[in-house]
Amino acid sequence: MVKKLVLKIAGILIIVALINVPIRYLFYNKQLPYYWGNHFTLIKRNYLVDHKANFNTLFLGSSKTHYQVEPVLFDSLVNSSSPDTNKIHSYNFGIDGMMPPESFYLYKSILENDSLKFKTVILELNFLQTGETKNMFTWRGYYWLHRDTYQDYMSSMLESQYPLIQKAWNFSLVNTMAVEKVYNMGMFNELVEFHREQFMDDTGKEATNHGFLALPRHKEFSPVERQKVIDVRKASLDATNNYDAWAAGKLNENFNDCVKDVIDISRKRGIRLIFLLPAEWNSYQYKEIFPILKTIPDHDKIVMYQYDEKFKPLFEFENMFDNSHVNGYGARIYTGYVAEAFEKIR
Amino acid sequence: MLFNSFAFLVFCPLVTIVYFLLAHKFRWAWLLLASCVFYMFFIPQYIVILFVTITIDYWAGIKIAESEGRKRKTYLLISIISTILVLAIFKYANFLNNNVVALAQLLHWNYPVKALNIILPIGLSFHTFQSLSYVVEVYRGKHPAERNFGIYSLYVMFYPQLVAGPIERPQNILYQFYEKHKFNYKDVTSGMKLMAWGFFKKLVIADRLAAIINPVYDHPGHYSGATLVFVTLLFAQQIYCDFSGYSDIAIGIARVMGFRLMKNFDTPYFSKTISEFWTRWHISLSTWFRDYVYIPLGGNRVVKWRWYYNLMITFVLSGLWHGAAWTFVIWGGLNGLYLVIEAGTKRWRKKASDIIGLSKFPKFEGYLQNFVTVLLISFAWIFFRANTLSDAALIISKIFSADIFNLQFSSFIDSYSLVLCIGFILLLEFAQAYHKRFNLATYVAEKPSYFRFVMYALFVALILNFGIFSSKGFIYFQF
Repeated sequence: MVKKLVLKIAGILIIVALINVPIRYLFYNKQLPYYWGNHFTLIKRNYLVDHKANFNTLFLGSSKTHYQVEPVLFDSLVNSSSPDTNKIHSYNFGIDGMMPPESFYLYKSILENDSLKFKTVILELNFLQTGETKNMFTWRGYYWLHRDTYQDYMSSMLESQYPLIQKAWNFSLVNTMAVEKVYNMGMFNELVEFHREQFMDDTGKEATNHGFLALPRHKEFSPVERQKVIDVRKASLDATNNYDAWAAGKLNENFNDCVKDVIDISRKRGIRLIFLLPAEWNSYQYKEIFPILKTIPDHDKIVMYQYDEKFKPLFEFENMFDNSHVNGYGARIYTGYVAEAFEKIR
Repeated sequence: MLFNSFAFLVFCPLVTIVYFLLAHKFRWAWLLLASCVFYMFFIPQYIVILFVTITIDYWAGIKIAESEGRKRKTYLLISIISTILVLAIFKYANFLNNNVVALAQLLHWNYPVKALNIILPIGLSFHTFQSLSYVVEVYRGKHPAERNFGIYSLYVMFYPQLVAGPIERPQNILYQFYEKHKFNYKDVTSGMKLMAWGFFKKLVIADRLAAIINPVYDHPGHYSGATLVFVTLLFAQQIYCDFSGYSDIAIGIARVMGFRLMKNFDTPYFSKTISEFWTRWHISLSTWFRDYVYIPLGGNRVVKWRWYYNLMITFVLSGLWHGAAWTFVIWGGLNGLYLVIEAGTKRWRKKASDIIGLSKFPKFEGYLQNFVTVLLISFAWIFFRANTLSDAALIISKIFSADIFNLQFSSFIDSYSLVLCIGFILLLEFAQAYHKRFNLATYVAEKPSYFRFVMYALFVALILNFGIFSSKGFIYFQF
């Protein structure tokens, strides 16, 4: 009886999948563009397409780009001594919680679908992440996960140096999202939401101001928050002191292939691709990234994680919003450092 | 843990599989453990409150059974007072305090007591009522005191019905925890079908309706009277699908494991009178109030004015049970008033029906009665759903204003979603209306297996495609 029941349930699930897969390919995939899954992605993408003549440089990454790189300031700093023909006009396409492989997927999709042209793209290099847990059952959780990205992600993640529990968590997250996709869970509602968002025509503060939004100054850090900041400093100090050892660690071949892929695509399109590494909050994240960072030539990367004399202001409480982000004051300092590093490798 | 969450998707099959794998003597302990985990997914520390009420009622039950005379009553009162006290502190203290503050302001008193900074433990009203029914039944001698603390705890905490009922009676469920439930293919499949039906009501209809209703009820001043009427009628469907959907899932989960929970809804919107509606809506609560409040007050075997008084008291208390706000009190009172009017005008209505010849067309008369009942019930839902009393007043004033014919839709896509909702509601109503004459489940079950497979798969695909999977809580969880 149990066997009969299990077989029947399995049979029904297979039929459901067989019903859903054609529906997805014939209907949803045609109705939903690559930028449908996240409101900020949608409004920033629409803004960028509408003003494509105004920008030739793109910052792309997570909230560590969105709240930390001020394009107007960046442009003024790097353009002060450059000739008119070589001026930088940058746009910040940072999206909260957007890490590889999602950021890589978005970068490729922008180039393939929207015929946007950039001279330079500064792409945040970060650790592998499926997206925030709170996004798991929302439209955000679905959109970047396609057959190729799933394979890339799974193999990269399994090869990563994450603690086992983190690996298991990420494994369950990404596979749940994959199952949701196979079964078109809530897809019709995603379609409704997408159209509703289009109707909203909301190009608010996240998209305007060159895509940058400053975080307010934190009034007071609680003891727990202070400790988190201290942990971030410690992780950065360890990373600074152990760069050579960690960079010589095991290279995550699959993740590295994904990095090479975006380099290839950029080269073919004549885009100067620069990777930007911000501060992380855990040692294992550095251990994951450093072997990859090492393979990237110095003139194609900007590193901002060090906890040394120069970068210390970025880790001061008065310049921080929380343990992961600088506030508006910190963003000006951060942008200044990025501009300085950019000038050196320009 | 929400039934419509990822955690539950893992939790439910795991609990059920282990339940059947375990030897009978360990099963209650496993279910109790699972129920604790289920409850602790909300606010873990609140399990202590639950433990305290369980301990007191367990002890009181035994003491009542062992004692005689006035002592029995004393133990019963200890149990009732302590259980009500928990409810009073967590649910009604701030309501009471707010009212005293308002009164103090009005009379220029100095009243410095601040509101308590507490969150209502999830499902508190449900499991306290289940606890109360146990001690009362023991006191009445209709059920022996439960000696096994674990089994009694499971009676209160059984996870399918822990946070939103059905509110069970000891006679119906306690003995089932001692029964050995073998894996029964029929129970498992019928339980799963019921769960699927519940998920359809919740995910496809109720949550989709919520997206249409919430913006309107959050800003009633922005909408016309016609829109408010329409949305209120939709809310009547939303709350039915939300709550009966939950009940179906709960009953289905229990049935998979071989437990029989009581029916909580019986197509209430097909009722022809308000009194009939209340025998078909949230049956476990209605019968609870009937057995433990209305009948002890004298029921209808008293003089007329006292009967009406009993009805009003019962329904005002029922309103207060739902929520600590004047909107719920008025909602309960309004339903009580409907029943009083129904009882008081029964003979006149019959006479009027005969005079105008309506009674010659019983079918038409039935439809008309049903229509009026749904309208009255829906009108009362305004108080239930409105965020404040002034919102309710505004909605009612707009409904009875000149713009009653101005139906607004904010955008094309909202009307698109609305059309879908109405389609699903019609499907639901059709399935329920013809349930007795043409049972779709039985019809499908009698067909060849390939047909059944495809039908079940289509239904699952429909839920998956059209459901809203953002883990929205059930409306009745707030009570």
